[in-house]
Amino acid sequence: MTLASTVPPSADSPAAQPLPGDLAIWFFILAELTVFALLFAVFTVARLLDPEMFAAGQAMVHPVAGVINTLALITSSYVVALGVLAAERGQLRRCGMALCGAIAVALIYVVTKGWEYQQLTSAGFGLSTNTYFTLYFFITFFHFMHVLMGMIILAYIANKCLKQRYEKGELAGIESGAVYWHMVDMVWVVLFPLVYVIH
Amino acid sequence: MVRLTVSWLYLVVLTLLSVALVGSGWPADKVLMLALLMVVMKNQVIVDVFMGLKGGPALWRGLLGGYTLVIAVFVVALNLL
Repeated sequence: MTLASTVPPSADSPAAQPLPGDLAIWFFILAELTVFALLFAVFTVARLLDPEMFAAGQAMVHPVAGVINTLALITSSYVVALGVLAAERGQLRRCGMALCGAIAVALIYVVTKGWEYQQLTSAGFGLSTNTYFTLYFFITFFHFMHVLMGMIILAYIANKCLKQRYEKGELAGIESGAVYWHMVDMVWVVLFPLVYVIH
Repeated sequence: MVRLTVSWLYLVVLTLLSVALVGSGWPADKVLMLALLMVVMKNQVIVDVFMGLKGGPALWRGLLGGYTLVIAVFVVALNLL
């Protein structure tokens, strides 16, 4: 037996940092990201096939709403990360409050997106208008559904934290919910320039 | 906590810069590449800092960090064809 094999791994070695949350949530995230990647690929190819139609469609969406939504999701993700940090320190009530704050910030996204849909539909644009709007509504609404799902998950975890129903050191559930929320943010970070910025 | 706050500010600044690119009057190809570069940079921060994968399993960090890189390369390649 060598000396190295008898030395336990140090706390700061890479092996000492396990994957946050449950392994299952990471496979779920991978599957979700794959679906979104395919949608982004379809959007990109469709734009190349008819750039004029896509440019005209992009001129009708609201870039300011896109910026507000991006800032809302980034901020919400940040607040969730603060909540996880509090949970790691054993401050469950603080974690619960942070998650409630994250949901409140995410509501800005929900309201803005709802307003955007209302503006577009009242101007006569819908799923069947053209390929741009079919993909725009499909991809953004699919993402919107993920945001709503994420908010429900965060609300469930926040409620459990506020009622102190997690055991000390029981972080897997909180981390899994947080990681899902960061995935929703990550997808929007890609979606935003594709739909709003790049012409 | 400081690291999280700095990362959040970094993401906000990159978002505002990507919007400023649209009004910059630069060629579309340059805007496309810079916007996607910012996406890759933002994604890496989300993966490393918010998701806590920096120092975590290299496989998962690589998969999630590489996600936007693959999309960015795909979009740029198709647009430059």
